[in-house]
Amino acid sequence: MSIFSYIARRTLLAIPTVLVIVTLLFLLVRVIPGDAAIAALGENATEEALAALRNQFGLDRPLWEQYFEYMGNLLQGDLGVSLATRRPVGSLLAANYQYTLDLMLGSLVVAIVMGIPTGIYSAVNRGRAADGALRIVSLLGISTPPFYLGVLLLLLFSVQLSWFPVLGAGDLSDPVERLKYLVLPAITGGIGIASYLTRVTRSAMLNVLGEDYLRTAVSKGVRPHMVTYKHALRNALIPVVTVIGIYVTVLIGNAVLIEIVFSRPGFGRLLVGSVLQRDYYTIQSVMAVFAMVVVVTNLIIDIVYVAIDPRVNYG
Amino acid sequence: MTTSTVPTKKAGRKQRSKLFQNQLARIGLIGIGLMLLIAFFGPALTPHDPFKQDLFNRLQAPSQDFLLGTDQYGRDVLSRTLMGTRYSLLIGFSSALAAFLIGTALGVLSGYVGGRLDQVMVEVVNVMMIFPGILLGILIVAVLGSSFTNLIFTITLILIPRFVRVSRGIAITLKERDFILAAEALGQKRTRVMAQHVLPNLVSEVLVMATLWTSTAILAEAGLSFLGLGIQPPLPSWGGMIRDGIDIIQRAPWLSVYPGLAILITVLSLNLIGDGVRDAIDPRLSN
Repeated sequence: MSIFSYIARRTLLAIPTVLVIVTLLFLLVRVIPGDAAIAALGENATEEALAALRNQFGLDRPLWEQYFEYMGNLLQGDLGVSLATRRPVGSLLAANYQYTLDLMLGSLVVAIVMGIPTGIYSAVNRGRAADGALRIVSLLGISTPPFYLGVLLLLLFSVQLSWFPVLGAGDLSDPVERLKYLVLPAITGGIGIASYLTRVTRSAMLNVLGEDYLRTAVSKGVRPHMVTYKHALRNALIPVVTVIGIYVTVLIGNAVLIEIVFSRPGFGRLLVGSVLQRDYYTIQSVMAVFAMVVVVTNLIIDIVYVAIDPRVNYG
Repeated sequence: MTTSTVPTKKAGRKQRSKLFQNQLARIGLIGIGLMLLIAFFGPALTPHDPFKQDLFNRLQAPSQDFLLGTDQYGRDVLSRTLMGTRYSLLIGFSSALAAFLIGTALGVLSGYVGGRLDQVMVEVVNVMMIFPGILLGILIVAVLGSSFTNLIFTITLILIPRFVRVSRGIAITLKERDFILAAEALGQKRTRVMAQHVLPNLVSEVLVMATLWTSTAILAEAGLSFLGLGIQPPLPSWGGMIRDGIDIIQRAPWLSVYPGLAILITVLSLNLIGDGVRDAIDPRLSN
């Protein structure tokens, strides 16, 4: 099978998953206790006003009718109207996505830059004091909840040292300001994943370092430095790439919590606010977008995996 | 590999790292033991009433009277942090235990029986695992509301797919082993094979993961409470206390710092134990 038909097949297989998720989200948010109309208009709304709103949003129609209309609109890119703000959900998402994307990518960069080199260093110095110390540091990184780490970094670098702004996300059109506001949240989101990456890289390196072909390289007289960084690292990175796919869900979860800590706008704040206001359509759409991100990333990772590792066939 | 009786430098290093590992696990045990004691004796240990508001003593910095300071309502942060241990551990341990029981049973069933059931189970697990735990939690709490039992239910649901995945994987490999095939050949019923042969042989491995996932459960509770969707005030919860402190973090950092430290100690202890035990059980992972 060629790589192209492999890609096509994997992409087709992702479609039912997406459909199932969208359907489940549709059903789930509609069994939320408490009437959406009351949530939107308040407890004191008149019966007529409630009825009018239910009628406007189609909440008085049978579930299956609502479902087909929702799916039809979705295919045309219409995500419905937010019950709380009366703005189209699509425009709410458009206004917020950049902040969350910045945060997720920033965290990923921090995780890779911090995690992979420390993992290599640990593997090369296996069993020495530095390896032990890094092991404890990475355990600390894994065990610190991101919202607590955010609080600590905020206290140290923003409140005490005034290096970074305290709250918010700044003006997106000003790249310097945007970066300034991003640094602490990105470190907060990245450290936990960096700690996992350290461990994965370390054990992947150790696995590869024991392989025969490396012993061959050493006995042929290849310099140790080259053996570690060229021969071993290249093969060790294959499992590392695949686990990055797994951590996309962690990146998303961290982003939601971190946005609350740093009062950054974004999908997390939007989601939590929508839950408190019982804003059906917005909850549903934010969750669907997050799920989509996970599905698509995993698809890409799967494809990259077969592309970079000649040992994997397209079975 | 080596035939000499004198331990090589490498082997010595390996042994030292093993000892180091054991020591770390021991520290973890002490940490979690301490937390369990605090949870158990909670009310007897608190220097002040964790619920009593005292408007004359609002936002006091840590002092001799209030070792960790007071919050916006003049409540003692130390007492509330100690009290919070009880709720955090109760929710963490009970949801991890429930998920362990349900998830392992489902995983064994799915892996051993196979076929249609297995296919459906794998799909369900995959869909659930697409959502980050905290997001799944937000969604379920949004649907059910945030009561104490709902919170346990929610976190159990977050953990179940992980247990299913791990135990299913082990069950599938066990299924091909001779002693299982022998039991089947002797005409034992499938339910009996599962209960007497499959389950006992995977339970220790799954239990190790259960230690690690108890820390996940505690983090999930703290996260949900931090978002205002977990334990509801006036009950003290570590996550909720951090949240309450954030708005006035420049004025009263102690509100968020100490409850967070409690989370860190608990989760770190569990991870130290989980790590140590995993290495002891599975020597392949110890390199």
